[in-house]
Amino acid sequence: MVLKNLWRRKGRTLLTLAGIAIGVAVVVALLALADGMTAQITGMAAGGGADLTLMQDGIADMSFSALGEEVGEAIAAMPEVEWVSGLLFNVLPVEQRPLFLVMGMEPQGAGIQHFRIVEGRSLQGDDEVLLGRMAAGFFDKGPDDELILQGQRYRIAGVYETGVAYEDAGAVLPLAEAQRLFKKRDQVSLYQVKVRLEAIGEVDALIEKIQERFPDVAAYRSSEFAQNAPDIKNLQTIAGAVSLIGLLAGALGTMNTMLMSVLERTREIGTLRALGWQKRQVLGLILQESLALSLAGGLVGCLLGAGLVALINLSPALKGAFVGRLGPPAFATGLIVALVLGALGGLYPAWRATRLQPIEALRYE
Amino acid sequence: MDWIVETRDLTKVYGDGAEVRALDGVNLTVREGEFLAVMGPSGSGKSTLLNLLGALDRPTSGEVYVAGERLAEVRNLDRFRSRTVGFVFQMHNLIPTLTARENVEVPMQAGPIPRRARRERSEALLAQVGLAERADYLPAKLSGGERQRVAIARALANQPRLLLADEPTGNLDSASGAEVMTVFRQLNQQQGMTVIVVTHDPAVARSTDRIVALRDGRIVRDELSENPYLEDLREFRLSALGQALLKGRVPEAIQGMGLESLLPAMQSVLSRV
Repeated sequence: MVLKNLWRRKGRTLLTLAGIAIGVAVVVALLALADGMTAQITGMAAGGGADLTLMQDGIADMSFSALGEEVGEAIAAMPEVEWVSGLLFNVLPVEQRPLFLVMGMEPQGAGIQHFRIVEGRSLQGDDEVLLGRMAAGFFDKGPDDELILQGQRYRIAGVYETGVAYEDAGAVLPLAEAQRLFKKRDQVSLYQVKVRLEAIGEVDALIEKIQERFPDVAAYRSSEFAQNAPDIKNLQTIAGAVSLIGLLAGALGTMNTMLMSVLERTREIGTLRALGWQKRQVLGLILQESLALSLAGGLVGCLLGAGLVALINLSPALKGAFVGRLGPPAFATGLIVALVLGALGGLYPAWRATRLQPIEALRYE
Repeated sequence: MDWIVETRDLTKVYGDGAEVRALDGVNLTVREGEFLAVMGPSGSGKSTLLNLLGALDRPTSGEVYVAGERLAEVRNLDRFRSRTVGFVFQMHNLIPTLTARENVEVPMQAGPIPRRARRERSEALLAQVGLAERADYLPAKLSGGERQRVAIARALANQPRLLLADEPTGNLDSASGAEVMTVFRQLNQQQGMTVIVVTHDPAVARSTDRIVALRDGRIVRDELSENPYLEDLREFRLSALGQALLKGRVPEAIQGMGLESLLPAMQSVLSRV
């Protein structure tokens, strides 16, 4: 009966369903992007086996993070620490790519060890660059080709692969050269810290110790670093705000549809009441209809969102820059959003339906 | 006591400014198993009376007792409606997307009857109104009379003690109307169902056992129907023309049509019915 009622006005039901689906799709896609970004940054932070990741405290965006090299030296001297590796990164336009990640790392440092060379060789001179495998693909370049970064020519020494899309879509310069090129003398963006095996139980104490000694340093376990990164927090805030707007628009659409539907069926609802249906049964019927509508919209929206994410992942211009990761959380949130929407949009019309006096509803033309 | 319906000084006033006394001190008793018509022109209060008997509306003053219950004391009127009365409306009010059988099942959804039993019962009821073959038809595929018979089957779904029908033949041609009245007659004779039909049609009223005539919210007559044409004459006497003729006047608009010569005879007939 619920589905038949919805199907009475196919056009209106489908339009409302499309509205809900688009809202849910945006929510799902944004969540997938935030999720993907978190996974990428976690991969970068923890990739080399580092237990801790340090960045500057109180900054709005990770690319502003700057730590002096004296911090790294002091931490490396701590007894609990096995090694420290500095990473300087910058995002700049290169050829037709608007966003290209360039990382500066010690050519023999611990942090670069997991960058597996698949073509050519590792870094030897200051005029050399390593190119990620994905970047090599979209630039169509390989060993001995040239790469121009901010007007400087670099020779590609080799091509690497780490399995983290952000890294594989970027390039690596020797740290000193990167500091010169990006005008960040003696500075890095992040420090990766490997804790000695025997001190692994004291990681929290070490974090406290570091933060006490360097008040402008924020230290996190590498696995938790991404959630605390300001970029991710910003993205989550935006995702939340957009979802809220989508939710509101969807709920209003659903409410409008259900109100129309209740109005059109005034006589019918009056008949149901005259035949002995209780108010809560009428309430249940209208709510079920609106929930069925929004659930269908939610399912379509999840598919649409998945398509959107697939499109982003496939888009050559965005390759490596945005990586969506679809998982149960994104879909679950999408469906929950849809159901909340249905409940919100259906409650008022359902309440209106129960307020109909059977005798007046029966007289309604 | 075998009264199934009893009203005491039943009064219903509509409107706040210009008051309309739709019902004005009606005392009516109906015995279990009666088949009666409530008759009167539009605005006489007959539908109001039916709505009050079916607990669709509350009286301004006075009491209604149905099946031993004082309606003013019934807390859950929805449940009362679902168990005690069955309604048949002028417009069949069937749900257009549901088949005849599903429409008959709708009132049963208000109760705890299992799906299978609902189905069996709705099929039995449709067979009873002669529509076993049409159980899977949508209302749009049924004739007016058939739709109204489905509505009767629906009214019977929860085994009511009392069937209330508001102008059940109002939208039907006379053949279909007679068909519907036959169904009521059978229910009354074979199952002892109490049936109250509201109508403005003397022919429909005559096919019941008792006629209660309302005018301006009061019962003006309440008697068993016998002479089939007496009712027509009484209706006529109550009409504007009848009233004029009774007073010995021919209204200006129809003067010169020859009524003047019949006036004494008309007057004498109308004064005797």
